[in-house]
Formats: sequence, structure tokens, C-alpha cells
Amino acid sequence: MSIAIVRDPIGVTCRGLVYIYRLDGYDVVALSGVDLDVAPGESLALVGPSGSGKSTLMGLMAGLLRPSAGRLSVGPHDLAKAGPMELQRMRANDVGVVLQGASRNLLPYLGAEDNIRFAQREVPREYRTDMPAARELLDLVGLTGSGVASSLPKRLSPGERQRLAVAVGAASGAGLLLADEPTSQLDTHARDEVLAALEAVHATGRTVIVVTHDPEVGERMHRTVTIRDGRVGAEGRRGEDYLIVGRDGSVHLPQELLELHPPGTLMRAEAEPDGTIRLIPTIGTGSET
Amino acid sequence: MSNVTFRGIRHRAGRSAVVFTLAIVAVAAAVLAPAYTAAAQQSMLTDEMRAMSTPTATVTLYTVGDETGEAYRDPAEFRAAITAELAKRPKIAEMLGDPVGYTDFNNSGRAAITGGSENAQVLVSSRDAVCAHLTFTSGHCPTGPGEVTMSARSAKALGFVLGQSVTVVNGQPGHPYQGSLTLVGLHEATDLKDPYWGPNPYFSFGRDEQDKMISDAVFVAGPEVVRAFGGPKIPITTGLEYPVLREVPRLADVETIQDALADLKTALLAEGRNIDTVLPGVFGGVRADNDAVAAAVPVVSIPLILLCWFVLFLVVANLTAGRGPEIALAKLRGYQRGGTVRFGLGEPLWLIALAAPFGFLLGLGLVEGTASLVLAGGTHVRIDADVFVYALTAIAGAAVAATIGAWRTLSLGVPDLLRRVPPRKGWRVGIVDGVLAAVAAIAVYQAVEAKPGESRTLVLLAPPMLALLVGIATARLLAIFAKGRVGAAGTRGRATAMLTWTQIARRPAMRQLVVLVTVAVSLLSFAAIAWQMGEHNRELAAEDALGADTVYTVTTKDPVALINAVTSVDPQGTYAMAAARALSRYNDATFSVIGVQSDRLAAVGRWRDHDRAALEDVARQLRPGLPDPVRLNGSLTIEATASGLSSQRPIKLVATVLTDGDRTITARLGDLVEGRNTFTSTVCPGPCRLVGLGLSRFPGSSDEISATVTVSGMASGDTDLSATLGDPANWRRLAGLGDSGFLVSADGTGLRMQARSVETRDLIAEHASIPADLPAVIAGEAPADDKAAADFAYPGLNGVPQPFHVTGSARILPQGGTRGLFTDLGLLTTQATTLGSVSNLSTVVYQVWATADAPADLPQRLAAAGIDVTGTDSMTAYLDRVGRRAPALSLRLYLLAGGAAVLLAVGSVLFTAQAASAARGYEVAALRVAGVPRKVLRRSVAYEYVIVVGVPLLLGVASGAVASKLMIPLIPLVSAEGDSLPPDLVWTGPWPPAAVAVTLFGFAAAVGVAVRTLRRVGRASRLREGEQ
Repeated sequence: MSIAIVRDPIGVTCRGLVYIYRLDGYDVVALSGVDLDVAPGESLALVGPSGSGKSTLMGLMAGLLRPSAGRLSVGPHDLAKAGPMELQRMRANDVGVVLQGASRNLLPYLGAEDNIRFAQREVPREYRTDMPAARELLDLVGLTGSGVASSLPKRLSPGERQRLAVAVGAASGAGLLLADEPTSQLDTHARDEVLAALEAVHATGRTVIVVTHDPEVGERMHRTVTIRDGRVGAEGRRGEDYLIVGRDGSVHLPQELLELHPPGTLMRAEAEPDGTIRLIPTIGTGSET
Repeated sequence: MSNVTFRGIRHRAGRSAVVFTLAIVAVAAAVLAPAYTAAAQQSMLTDEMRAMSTPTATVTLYTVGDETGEAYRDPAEFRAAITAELAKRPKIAEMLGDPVGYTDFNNSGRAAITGGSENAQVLVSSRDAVCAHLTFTSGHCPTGPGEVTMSARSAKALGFVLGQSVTVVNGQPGHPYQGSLTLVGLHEATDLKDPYWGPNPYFSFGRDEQDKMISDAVFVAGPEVVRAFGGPKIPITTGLEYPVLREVPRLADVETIQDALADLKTALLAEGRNIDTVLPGVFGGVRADNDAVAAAVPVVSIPLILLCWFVLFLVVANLTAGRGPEIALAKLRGYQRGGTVRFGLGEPLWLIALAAPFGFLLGLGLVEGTASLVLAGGTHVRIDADVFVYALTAIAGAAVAATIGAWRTLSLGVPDLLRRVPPRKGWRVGIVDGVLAAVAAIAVYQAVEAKPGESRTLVLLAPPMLALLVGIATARLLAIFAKGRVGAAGTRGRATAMLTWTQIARRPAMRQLVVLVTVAVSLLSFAAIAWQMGEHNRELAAEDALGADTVYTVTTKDPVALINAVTSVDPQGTYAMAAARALSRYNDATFSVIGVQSDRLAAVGRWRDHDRAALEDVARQLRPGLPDPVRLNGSLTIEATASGLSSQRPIKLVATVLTDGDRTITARLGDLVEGRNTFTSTVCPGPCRLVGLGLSRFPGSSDEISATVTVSGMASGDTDLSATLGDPANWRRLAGLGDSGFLVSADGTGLRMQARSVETRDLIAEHASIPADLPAVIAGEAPADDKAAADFAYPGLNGVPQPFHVTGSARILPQGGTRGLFTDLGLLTTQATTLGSVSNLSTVVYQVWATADAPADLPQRLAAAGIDVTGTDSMTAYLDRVGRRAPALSLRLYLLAGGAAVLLAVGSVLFTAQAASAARGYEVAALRVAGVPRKVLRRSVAYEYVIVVGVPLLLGVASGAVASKLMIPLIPLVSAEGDSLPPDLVWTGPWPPAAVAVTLFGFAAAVGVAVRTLRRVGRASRLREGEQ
């Protein structure tokens, strides 16, 4: 079943995005200049090792964190300049968020439908007439069983709970859905159901960005972007991975090449006539040129 | 939103119940303040009204005048005028019963009846339906203008018989008038306690200070008879006596009644009328207590309300912090600030609103229950505007406390809300603690330093402030200490200690718990100690006020009759003791003279600071060894040798005797002649006692007389009494004669009296069985110019100064307060009777003191012995009364507040453990998975709670004890007007240990449950996704 949304899908643009966690006595750079464009209506998976900055990037996109430097635009919102009210309106209208851990997205004492309605409460009046009904959203994510609508979250299976979390994230009819590890700790069957739910949501015209460790989730998205050491390290399209040349000319080597040429290796780049670039390591590890 | 809110409330049923209960307690505590104050004040007013004696519970409206005045007109006119005046003042009218009209005159004691054995002062009265309240022993009620009825005892004393003519003289100089009435009835009062008799002295039979006879009132058939026998120029009184309906006055009406009484008095005076009532005094008497209660109750209840608010703040803060992820969801879904606040605060605010009516009813119910158990009977809770104001204030305060408690969580951003450990509050907490500590320190200082005369009620505020100070300091120091211990434990690899101290150091809830437990325990400790001391001091005050377990106020014709009656009823002296108390003023303060049968003091009396041995010692001091009295059977024979008689007129030998009643008679035995003299004379009509022998000059002469007289023989009838004459210890010059040229000595030849004197008084050699001075134990300064005098004279039983000798001193005397003297009643009476009559002095109160073991029918036994009991008081009744005075009422409320505070603290320990269970369970589970032994985790949790509760518990007890030491001496424990003596600070008693035991048990149980809760939730499954 598909649900048409009136509101336009929302794209995201990151330019030199930096985020620094300020802890007691020291700072940790989580993102160190992310350049990324997500087109409206696109589905994207952010992948990368733990601590690489994926969830931080999602928190920035959701307006939960404020960029330390750089630019971040989510649809019409410039998040580097947006105030609390604008961020609140953005989350009410334009951006739906699914936190890691299904239960953290749900009020444990409300049934499935009521959880969705709770998420719809702050949608502005002008959008309410076209807002999807709770039952429609449940149908959209595949929760069609009898009694599901009124079931408390603890009565649902982990997979159902996660799909309900997706429905709640999409409840406002926002043009962008952000989902953090939506398939973690699920078995294969449940994972597939959640992915199907995400695809269904995407099919309604929304932009969907998913943070995941799971390569298969990435494969189900149109595009994968690998975040590594706080930067965009690679991008995959249609099953193939590509390096990305950064605005400063930097290129992140894939993991398997890093094992051959560890960090600190001195290399010379030579351009071939056909446009191919050859990377020629020096002999030894870095002291000679 | 309300649907979501109510589901949330139901989801968190346990925690919601805590908030609900706390709100109930807060509102109930708030309602308690005005409701308890009003009930306590009403109770004190009721007690005071009920304490009015029957004669004083009357409002008398009257007019006095001769034929030109209203008093001589038809009493119906006066009645109509008074009724009209009262109708204008309904608050007065509704508290008065049906009036009794009367018309009488005694012309300021000058009116008399003649025709009997002697003339007697009399009150001639016409009183509504008087015969219905008289029992006629013979004859009938007067019905005609020429008839009169007289009390049987007056008729007997004056020698009147039924049918005899009684002449009434008005005694008015310049306007003498008299008339005769026929005695048609002899009566007794059916019931002298009947309110019908009001305050008028209709039954005052006896003698006045000049030994003149006073008859009971005589009653005639109507006011016109009174007017006729008074004559036109004699002021007669026409009036109405209204019995006061003592249960009617309500506290709220007191001010109106007082104003109306003042207004009525003014209106009456303008018309030449008068009003007599003690009501203004009664109302004034309860004012000090009322003011004290009105001041003390809020001072006690407000800290309790604040404590409730604080606990509510803690609970809501914890509750909201626990709901952080839910609030994060609201923010994540774009809820605006208002929506987030409604979502976050909706649950506690709804709970508070729902709890309000229950708290309201609980508060009123507690007051009603207290009223029925403790306060004066008939006292009920009253709902007025103040109750609603306090309730609304409590609700608003609870809402504010809840809002402040929730605000920190509500103001956090989504990432912070999703963190498991909340960010630190930092410097703001320090500022709040600093401000609170400063305010508390200032409050303690001001309370302790209050100047004399200033209200000491604020002292009650000092203990919670001191506790707050100690609590804040403890929390701070414990946190600092804990941080230090964390490092040390880590260095030494002690996992249990490290986990314990880490939790104490990092969790804000622990700091708040430390403050709360300290304050609560301190409050209860102080309250228990204060109550214990109050109870002890009330018992001491009861001993001071009564002197025995039971005190009967009695009527007696004289103290000798009282002593004889008590001795006949209790010949062994094991349970009853006669006593008399004379009150007088000296140096603008009351001074009491108390006489008791000192040989019974140890068995019957109760005296502060005096155990039985001490009482026996006092008794020995008060009754030194005296020679046996010389008893005469009526006649006296004296053999005496006179020499050196030099006077122009004869010198008489006289004997002074004391009748078995209370009269002193000086019998003139005969003129002395040179050489041997023998006199035989009847000196008293019946048995009597020799007071002394002496020389009396010819009446009217003033020349110097000289004589030497040796009394060598003395007999009464066939009894030879000569033996007493030769002992020099048996005779002395009469005290008061001073250096008058009269010498008294005794040797083998007999009693020798040598005179060379111009003294006009009889020169008496007094027998030493009459004490020269009265041994006395004194409290306070001597009533003499020399305040430290050991010998002084002061009016005793008959208004005539009697000589006293101080043998000891006491801080306070039973029934004598801190100014008075305590002496032997027998000696006091004997000594007094040598100076004048001891009957009917209105300032002397006669009593019988009895032990708790005395027979229940003692009043009947006394009545059979001729002593009527007119009033009874007992230690139990006294303690009951002072238990309803302001200090006891305040301290009782304090005790309740302390108990409630500890309950709140115990509940908070449980709640904190429950609220922290989710996060703590996650940590415990993680630590277990990480390999920390279960035993270490269990111990660390147990140690943590034992320290967090145990340290403030100990310091709370210490703080309460210190507060008691500092504050209790400043608090009146018995009477709001101030206690007679500084409080006796006795700590021993059941209340403090009971309070500590209950507190220990409560907290031990709470710690046990808390530790078990945290152990239970520490499952590894917590680490799985989603479980909180």
C-alpha cells in the first residue's frame, strides 16, 4: 500500500560540516569536514565503523546537535543558523527520526495507534488534513494483524516494534526520515520486514537516510555513503563502491588498500593520459621522497 | 493529552501513588494549620468557660437607687428595658439563659435584724420563685407582705422560732427605718450549686472580722416588701441574673461579644444601670493561649508543608528524570515548549489536583479526630475561609515544587535526555545550598537571640533550620569525603568500597536524601525530647499547683473544725491532710500563706524537688517540739503571791484562754492584793485552752504600775496544773509587748511576773504551747522591708500579722508558687486565734489534700464529719487541662509533624531506590557481565544505603538533641504566659528512645527494601536492546 504525501521530499546538503564534542577537559572531533548531498526522494545508507561519526551526522541532520562549523541544509532549513523554534518546527513538519532501539521511540503505555497519534500531535493545523491516518501508517509498515493497533509495545515482537517505530517516525508526513540502526539486534526475517517498511516509506516519496552497520541494508538503499574518521570516505551506487575526492583533494583509501599501505606511507600520484591516477608508494615507510 | 497523561499515571502506578500521597499530606498539613488552630482555640475557650464556677457563670444586670430611681419602680419595667437592650445585641442574648429577677437591700452591711439573741447583718431579698429552690424544715413560703422566711441555721443561732416577730432595721444614719415581719418559714437551700442562686451571697452565715454576726439572707414575698422595709431613702437593688450558657460562645464570636459587652455597659451606665460579669476576664484569660497557638501552629506546620513540598520536589524531579526518554520523544516529535511542559508536568499536576480534596478531608479529619481525643469535649473542626486559603496555598506550592522539580529535565535537550547519567548541575546547586544554609543560620541566630519579652514562638522554627544547616553541611561533606574515598579505594583495588563511594559521590539524589533524612530525624528527635520535657514539666506544674493527688475545696466554720474532721476521718494520717491557703498582695504581687497538717505532709503531699525523706524533714522543721497545752474544763483556780504592788488603782490577775471554737477570751480573775491570793473563776463556757496569765491595769488608768506576782498553784476543777508553772521553758513574755518593763520567769516556786511598766495593754505571760513564732519554709523574698529577713510578721489566717520564722527555703511551694510561705496549719491556727477570729475570712481557702489511694467516698466521709466539699481538683484533671493549653497543643503538633517528616523521609528512601532502579539496574547488570562478583555488588549497594541513611540519621539525632539543649529553655512548656520556674530539663523518659527506635526501624526497613530492589533489577537482560 502506498500513501501519497503532499509535502515535497526533502534533500540534505553538507559542506565542510564539522562537529566537536566538548567534554570535560578535552574536545573530540566527531566530524571533520563532511561534504554530502542527498537529493530529495533519495534513499541513503550511512555506513562505517563504530565511532566514525554516522550517528553524529544523523543527529546534526535531525537538528538535535548544532554544527560546530560548516554548512548543513535540510530542505529549506539552514541548521547552522536555525534557532530552537525553527528546529522544533522542522522536526514537527519536515524531519521524522527513528532512534536506535525501537522502544526508545515508543511510549510504553500507549497502543500502536496512540503512539502514532502522539507523534502527530504537533503537526501544524494546515498539514493535518493530509496527514496519514494511524491505521494507514500501520498498514504501510506491514502491521496489519488484528489487535496490533491497540497493542502496547511490549506485546509486539521486536520486529513489529521496530516497524512501529518506523511508522511513528513517518507519522508527521515529513519529507525526510532519519533512522538510526533500524535493523540492529533483529533476526533476518524481522530485518527484512523492517527494510520493507523503510522501502514502503521511501516509496511514498520521502527521502530516507539510514545509519547502519549492516551491508545488506546499504544494498537495499539507492546509495551508501561510508563515513570514516569523521569524513565521507566512499560512496556506493548500484553495488559498487567509489572513492570520493574531497574538496581539499583528499581521498580515503579502502580498508584493504590501507592494509597494504598503512597510514604514514608516502605516495606519489601520477595522472595517466586516460585520466587514470596512479599512486606510487615510495620504498620504505615515509622517510624518503 | 489528558488521555496520554492518565495512561502514564496508570503505567507508573507506584510512583504516581507516591506523588498523590505526598500531595495529600502537603494539603492535609496545610489545612491542619488553620483548622487545628481554630479547634485548639475553641477548646481553650470551652475549657475556660467550663472552668467558671456556678456563681461566676452569671451576667447580672441591675440598678441601684432610692425611691427616686428605677430600682424602686416595678421590676417589669427594668426587665423590659434590659430585654430591649439585649435584643440589640443578639450575640450576648443567645449565650444567656432565662433570667432570675431580684430586689434586695442590705445597705452596705448596715441593715440588721433584731429581736434575737444578738443583732445580725442581713440581706432582705425578694427573688423570683425563691421558694421553689428552698427546702422548708418548718413553716412555709412567705405569701403576704408581713411574712418572712429565714435559714434554719441563722434562726437557731439568733434564737428565732417560727411565728416570732423579726424586726428589720435599715441602719441608715439620718433615715432610720424599721418594720416587723412574722417568721413563717425556716429553710435550707435545696442546692447551693444551682445556677439559680447566681453570684449573690444569700448564704453567708457567720461572723465578720469584727466578730459581728452575719445572718443568711431573709426572703420576703415581693419587691414591694423589700422597698417597704428599706424605706424610701435606702438604696435598694433591682436586677436580673442571667445564667451564662457556657457551651454557646464560639471562638469566632468572642470579639463580637466582647465589643457588645462593652457597648452594653456603656448603654446601661447612661441609664444608671450596671452590669457585672466576669466574661471579659474569661475571654482575656484565653487570649494569651490563643495568641500562642495562633503563632505556634503555623510555625510548626509550615516546616512540615515545606518538607512536603521539598519531598514532592525530589519525587517529581526523580519521576521526571526517569521520564527523560519520553520527554525526549516529545521534543523529537517537534513538541513546542508548552506541549512539552504539559506532557512532562501533566502527570504530577493532575495527581496534585486529584489529591487536593483528599488532603483537605484528611486534614479536617485529623483535626476532628484530635479534637475528639485530646481537646475539650464538644470541640469540632470548623471550616472557614482560612482553611481554603491554606489549602489553595498548599496546592499552589505543591504545583510550584513539582514544576521546579520537573523543570531541569524539561529544559534538557534531546541528547541529554537520552543519556543514562544526567549531566551535573554544577555551581547552581552550590548557590542554592549556600542561600539555604545562610537563611537557616540567620533564623537559628535570631531565635536564640530573641530578647526577653519578644515572642518566643519563632524558637520553634529554629530546630528545622538547624537541621537544614546540618543536613546541607552533611551532604556536602559526605560528597567530598566520598570523592576522596573513591580514589583511595581505586588505588587499593577495593571494588566494594569504590562502587559504594562512587555512587554516593556522583548521584544528586543521594545528596538530597541526606538533607531530607537529617532534617526529618532532627525534627522528630527535637519533638520527642520537647514533648518528654513538656510532659515532665506539666507533671511538676501539677504538683506545684495542687500539692497532692487530689484536692478538695471545702467549707468549714473554722480551721480547727477542719483539722478535727480530717483527723476523725483519717486518724492514721495516711491519705488525707487539712490545708488552708491565704492569698494576699505584697509589693504588687500575690503572696500565699499555706498551712497544712505537717505531720501528714510526707504521706499525702507532693512537692517538686522533695521526696518523702525531704518532706519528713520539712515536717520536722514546721512542727518543733512544744510543751503540751494546758487544757481547762471551764473553771480556773489560781494561787498567787503578790508583792510590790504600786498603783493608784487595783491590778487584776487575768487569764487568757482559747475556746474550742476559735475565740480568745480574757477572763479577769480578781484584784491582786499584797501577799497570798487565791482566785477561782469560770473562764470559758466549755473546754478551753490556757493561752496565758497576766496583769491587767484598771481600765482607763495610765500611771506606771509595778508588781511582782508569783503564781505557785493552778488547777481546773479537780485537775492540778501546777506542774507546768515551774518550768521556765513553758512561759515567755507575750510577743509584741517588747521592752515594756514586764519580765517573765519560772522556777521551783512557780511562774513569776515582774512589772514596772506604763504599758496600757495587759501584761501577759504566754504559755509556750502557743508558738511564739511560726516555723515556715519560704519561697522567694520575705514579705518584709528586709527581703532576706529570717523573722517577720505577715497576715495569715485572719488578716492579722502573725510572726513567722524562716527555717528553710524552696524554689516553689505547693499551691504557693514562687512567692509564699509554707507552715503548719495547727500552729498557724492556734497562733492566729490568739490574735482574732479565724472564721469567714474570704481570702482563705480551706482544702483537704488527699492521696490517689484515698477512699472514693472521702467527700461523703468529710460531709459526715461536718465538712462540705464544694470543689475537687486532681493531678489527672490538672494534667488534662494543661494538656489542652497552648504549649502542649503546640508540642503535640510538633511531635506529629516530626513523625510525618520521618515517614516522608522513609518514603523518599524507598522512592529514590525505586526511581533509580532502571538506571542502577542497567549499571549493576553491566558490572555483573563485566565480571564484578555478585557479592561485591550486593555489598556495595548495601553499604551505600547504610551510609546515606545512617550518617544523616546519627547527625539528625545529634542535631535534634543540640536544638533541644539550645531551644527548649526558651519555650514555655506549660503555660503560654510563661512558666513559674525554668523548665526542668529531664531527658529521661519513654518518648526520645521510642522515637529513635521507631525511626531506626523505619529506616532499616526502607534500606532493606531499597537494597533488595536494586539487587532484583540488576539482571543481565537489562543489557538487551530496549529494556529500561
